[in-house]
Amino acid sequence: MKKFKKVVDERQELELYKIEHVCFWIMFWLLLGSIIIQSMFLNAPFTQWGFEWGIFMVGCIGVIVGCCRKGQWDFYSKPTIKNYLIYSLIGSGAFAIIYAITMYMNNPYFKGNLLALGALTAFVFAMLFALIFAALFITGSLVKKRQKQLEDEFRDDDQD
Amino acid sequence: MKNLKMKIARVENEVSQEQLAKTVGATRQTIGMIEAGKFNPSLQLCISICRALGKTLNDLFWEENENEKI
Repeated sequence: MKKFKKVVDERQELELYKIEHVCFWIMFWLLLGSIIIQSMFLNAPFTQWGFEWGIFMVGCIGVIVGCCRKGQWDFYSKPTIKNYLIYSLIGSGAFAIIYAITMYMNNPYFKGNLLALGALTAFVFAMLFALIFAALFITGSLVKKRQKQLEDEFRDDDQD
Repeated sequence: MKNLKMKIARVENEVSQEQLAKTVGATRQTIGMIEAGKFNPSLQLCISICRALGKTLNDLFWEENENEKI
């Protein structure tokens, strides 16, 4: 039995979903930005941004679990190796640039040794690229598997 | 693309947007937006509207050719 009866019609429901969707992504990027600024640029201790990070991770895990359960991937792309590579490259590239900037700003050693900074950034980039690619590959495989399961569940047995 | 067929059927039945909305479980704004072609209703809502106005889906929502304005 439903405890709360909806008082909106289908158009209002769709519009509410759209509003919530937009606000979710605004909150997502602002929270990520806040965590990056506090942890990397301001060198704040984990206790200061740990709760935000925890909430952020709960949101991320919720989205991943929800998408895997429903066999959904993305609005604009499909779970393919090419897309995993593109997203990994963008994610690790963006983080590597931020990492290099913060290391240069906060660490006097790297101000006089750009070669070491470059090498460290390249290492971080490579590690992160591998990590993101692996995460996308695993979640993409799960999504594709779930899509297949859902297709079979609603399969018309007359058609073979 | 305006749904004039639906608007005409509603006027013929002497039903206001408000009354139709109440009958099909929608808001007046939603009915107005469907008639103005600003919202594509679900099949379920289309059927409810057809039943309320005593019409078929063909009568209200079918276009004979792609370029036809309903």
